[in-house]
Amino acid sequence: MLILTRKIGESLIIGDQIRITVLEVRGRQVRLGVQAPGDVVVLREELVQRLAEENLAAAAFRYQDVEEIISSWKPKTVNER
Amino acid sequence: MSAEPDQPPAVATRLTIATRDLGARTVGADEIITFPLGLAGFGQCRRYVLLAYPQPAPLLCLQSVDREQVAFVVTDPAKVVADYQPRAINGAMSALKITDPQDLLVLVILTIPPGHPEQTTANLQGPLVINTHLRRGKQLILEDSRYSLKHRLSV
Repeated sequence: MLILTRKIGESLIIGDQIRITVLEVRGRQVRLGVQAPGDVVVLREELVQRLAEENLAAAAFRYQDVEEIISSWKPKTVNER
Repeated sequence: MSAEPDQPPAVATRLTIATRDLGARTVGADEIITFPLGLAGFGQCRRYVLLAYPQPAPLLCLQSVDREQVAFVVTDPAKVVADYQPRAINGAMSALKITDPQDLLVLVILTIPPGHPEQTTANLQGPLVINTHLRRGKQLILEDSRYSLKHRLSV
């Protein structure tokens, strides 16, 4: 891991097109600004972890429960939408 | 990211795959959808097929071709919530080279707590976006607070 120290208002530049700026420090929280092209995905790390956990839970279904859902699914009528 | 061809793979073959719950199924090789990055937590599983369940249902099975035991119950998000319009879908469409909106397929994965199907939830925060023409897909992670990881269904 590359470790650098920044003051408020200072930035890092990653590659050609990504800039991260320290905007504010308040207590234990750091507010960061990220400038990146629209096709670069920027995510809080815990979201990736939570998604992996949800996928794992989803893959653990019991087929008999799927059968039960199918047999009891009531199609929405127009009025119920 | 390696260059992906913009033409669908030319295939005429059929193959038989083992599935988690639905026995052996024969599918066209042109039904295989590739997720170059896999799904979160399932990075080694890149190839999937969409299978119908034996009974008519508004659900489909997304079955891994690479691992027999990996499968997901998926559905059209329109069946779960009105007007599902995450902002990130547009970026995903260009990443997947979707030019014709008819080639866009969005699915959401259901989480069915074992023994408690009445507590089934839909993952609206991690939709699957698929280019049905190139048969390529990705799972998005939405930073959109409108949509929940565990959206309760009214089944």
